[in-house]
Amino acid sequence: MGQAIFNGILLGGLYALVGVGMNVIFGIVKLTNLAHGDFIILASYLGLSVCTALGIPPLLSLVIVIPIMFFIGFLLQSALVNRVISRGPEPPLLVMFGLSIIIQNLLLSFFSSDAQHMRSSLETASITITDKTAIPIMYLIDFAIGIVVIYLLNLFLRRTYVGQSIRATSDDTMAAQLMGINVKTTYGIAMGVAMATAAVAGVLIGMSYNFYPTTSSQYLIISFGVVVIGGMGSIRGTLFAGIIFGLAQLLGAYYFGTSVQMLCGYLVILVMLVVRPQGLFAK
Amino acid sequence: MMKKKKLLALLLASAMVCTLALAGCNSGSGGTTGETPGTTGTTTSTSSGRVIKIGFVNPTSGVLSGFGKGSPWVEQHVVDIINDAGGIYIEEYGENLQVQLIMYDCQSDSAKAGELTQKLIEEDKVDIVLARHTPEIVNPVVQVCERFGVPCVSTDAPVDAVLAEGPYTWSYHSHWDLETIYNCYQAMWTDAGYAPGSGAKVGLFLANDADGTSWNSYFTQKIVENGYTLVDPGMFPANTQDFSDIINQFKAQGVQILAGTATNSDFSTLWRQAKQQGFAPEMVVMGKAFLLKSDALAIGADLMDGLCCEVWWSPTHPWQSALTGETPQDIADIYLAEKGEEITTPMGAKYYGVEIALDALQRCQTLDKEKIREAIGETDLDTIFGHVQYREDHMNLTSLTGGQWVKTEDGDLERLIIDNTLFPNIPTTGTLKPLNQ
Repeated sequence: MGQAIFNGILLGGLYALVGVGMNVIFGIVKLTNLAHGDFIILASYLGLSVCTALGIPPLLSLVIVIPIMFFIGFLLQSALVNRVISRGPEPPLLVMFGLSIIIQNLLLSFFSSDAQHMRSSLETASITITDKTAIPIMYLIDFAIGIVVIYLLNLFLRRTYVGQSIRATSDDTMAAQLMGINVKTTYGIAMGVAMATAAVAGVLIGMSYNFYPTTSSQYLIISFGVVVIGGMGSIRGTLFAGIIFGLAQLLGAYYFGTSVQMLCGYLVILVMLVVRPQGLFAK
Repeated sequence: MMKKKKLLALLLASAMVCTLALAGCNSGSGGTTGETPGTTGTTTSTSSGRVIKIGFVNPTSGVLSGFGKGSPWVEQHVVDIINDAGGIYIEEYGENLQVQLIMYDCQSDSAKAGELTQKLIEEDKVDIVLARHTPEIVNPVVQVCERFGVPCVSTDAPVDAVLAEGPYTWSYHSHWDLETIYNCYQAMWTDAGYAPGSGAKVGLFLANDADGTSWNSYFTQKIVENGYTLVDPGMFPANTQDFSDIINQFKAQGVQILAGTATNSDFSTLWRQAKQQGFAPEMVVMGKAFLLKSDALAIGADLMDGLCCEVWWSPTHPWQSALTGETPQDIADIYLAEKGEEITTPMGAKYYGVEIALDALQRCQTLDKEKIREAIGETDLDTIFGHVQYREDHMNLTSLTGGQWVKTEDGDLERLIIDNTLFPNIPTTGTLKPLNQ
């Protein structure tokens, strides 16, 4: 029981991190980012390449991967999505879907289909609490970094001028425009920020699990779950949603077996949709 | 509020679309369906202009692309040997015809594999179809061949999974079956000191996919029958992120042998978390998860050291192709020299599929589909994958030996054959070493 609760909460931190980028884009650009899973795996591969090339520990690769991903996000939004964003919700959706396919095939042709992993000395380490409970160090790192990223993101959106202009754009695009905010640049920055969170998620996933070019869909589904539970556009909600999602899975497995672990997570989503379709923390 | 609802509807719609699109077509690895150039420069034109066409789909992209590696290089290599020797004599044309290969990328998708096979038959008018690589691809391809009445040579999918969709008229399949793999596992457990009747605790790790389900019914029964103690935590859904519940059950029940079959992704997650949570079985025998060396390396040399698996084929197997004269070592050396990579097990399966097809054509000397079908049925051939002779139900069983991954001194991994109880004529290349030493 203790193990299930610990792992559920800690895994939730990683789930929140996976979903938060999706939520930013959903709340601000009002766009369902179908390529979010692929962005995460792209970051895993970038992290892996950086580590192999420079021989640095996986976590340090974030210093390089985050700016690269931010830049890619800004560029994609400015060059592709902004062009079609005024034509209703479907064209940008298709752009993202196309990007998802392109990224996957690029990864396949550059890195082949081989399984990959970012090796570190931490991957099998753990802190033993009791005979039956041990907390994996990697889970702790995932959780801690997840909280830090979400806290910083919240701070950025509330306290900085750029963050405030992003929120203003999200609340009322027309009014923001009248106040002299360049909406398209704002969208670009928002996508960049979302990609930066995907970068962190990608590197942590690369350290925690094996990945392939095709792994992306499972993380896309997790991010959908987190967004639905937490409430669209709510950054703080993402964290709680991740933890609820993780706990639901692990407690489900504890009581009913691992065969229903995933199902329990999805059941929570279903219940949320019926009881509170706007999500826990939606405005 | 309205806006929120609209957004929510859109989110849900897109969630469904993407689950369908991504999961359904196995991650939509777009890409064009590429056609191989067929016979290359060596083709000598014949007066009739007719060539013999052999068609197949390959999981070049998508989740099964590890199996797809090496195509069409391997197939072309075998065909080139025959073409260079002048091709195959076909009576109704009164001359030797060249063989042409046509390959499409099915993107690891079952539905696409079936559609593209239909295309091979209807548009490309192939004379023989090859089916390979997991029941997910073999079954739809075989079904299309049965429907259209085209001879099909099938390899590389557990016999039980293919037989379950039978009976067959046009298709002939060759691989190992569940009984052989169970016996192969049990032989390795016996080597490690856990003989049948010892009551040793065997923990099963199986996903609730096609493979896992069929293993589950056979293994749970056999393990109990043979006097082992079964610890069955139930089958898990693929891509589970946390296995602590299964690990805790294994720990609590004192599992000595961890056995099953799982994807590389699921097993690597389980094994890392097992290490984190202090579950240390005396022996691990796992199918599929580290069939390819790249899979084993992704798990890591330290974590892999001492893990056991089944070996279908390796360069050290004592087989020799009656058609080309090559041995497994020969083709491994040629591949290494040309591509700079080690050969993989599924490439052996690609090789002997082509062998069986070409041998049948050489014997029947006609392009009449019924005659080709009969010729395939009468196959009695030494191939690079062992001897092939089909049973009444169109199946042929191949060999299995026990293997163990061992970390070498320079930190690389090597797969040794440590048990040949079932097929003593395949030499071992090492002895079993204990997992926790």
